[in-house]
Amino acid sequence: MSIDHSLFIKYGLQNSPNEQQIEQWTSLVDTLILSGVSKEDAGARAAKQIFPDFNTMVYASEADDIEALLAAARNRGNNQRGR
Amino acid sequence: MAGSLTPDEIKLLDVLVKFVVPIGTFILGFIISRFTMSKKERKDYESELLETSRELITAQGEAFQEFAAAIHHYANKDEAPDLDDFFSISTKGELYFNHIRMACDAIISNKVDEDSIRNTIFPKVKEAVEKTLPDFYSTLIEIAEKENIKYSGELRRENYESIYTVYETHT
Repeated sequence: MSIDHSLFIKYGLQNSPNEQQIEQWTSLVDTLILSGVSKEDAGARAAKQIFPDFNTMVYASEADDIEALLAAARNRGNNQRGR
Repeated sequence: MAGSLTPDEIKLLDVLVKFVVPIGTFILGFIISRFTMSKKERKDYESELLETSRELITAQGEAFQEFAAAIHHYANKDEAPDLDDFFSISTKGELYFNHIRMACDAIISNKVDEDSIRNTIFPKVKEAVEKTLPDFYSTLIEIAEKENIKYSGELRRENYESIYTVYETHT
């Protein structure tokens, strides 16, 4: 998975970040880590500062996708029976 | 008096200080170095863990895509589904959970870095145990009944032992 897509999913963005934003985010994360902030926290804090659409979307997890697909598979049987 | 030593005792002490102590220190240092890592060794070890995590996560992601495609194909097929469609879901699903199991085996043998466990692998393990594994088996049973397919699969903990072990130890 590319870094822009990972950031897009992880920080709930509406648009994929561009190269400049990714660079800004990376350098801010490095600075925060050097100042003693934990990796996870540094990533989130930098994202909040750099990406204007931070946490504006919630993306489904793998499990949500599987759950929805399995439900569709079960419904297929029901729909056919209903026909 | 304990403080007064005989010439023999003094000689012995001399030998101890001259030979035994340096040799002992050398052996101790050697042993300690075997159980600790230098800065470079630690860095190499961490890179190795990261690389293993990355490989496991990538392979698991690919298995997920295939599994999702198989269910999607079945759910949206215009013609009546056949045995191949059913077994495609069943085998791709098995493969998907196998990859999660392999990641758990690697966690149990300490071959994965902590961040990858916490941020990427454990959330999948949790969802597999609490949601997708039971859902997968119950759906297969339901589809098999509807399509008149003989299917005797069932969710058995022993088939996914490492997944449950990681789930229980990290929850």
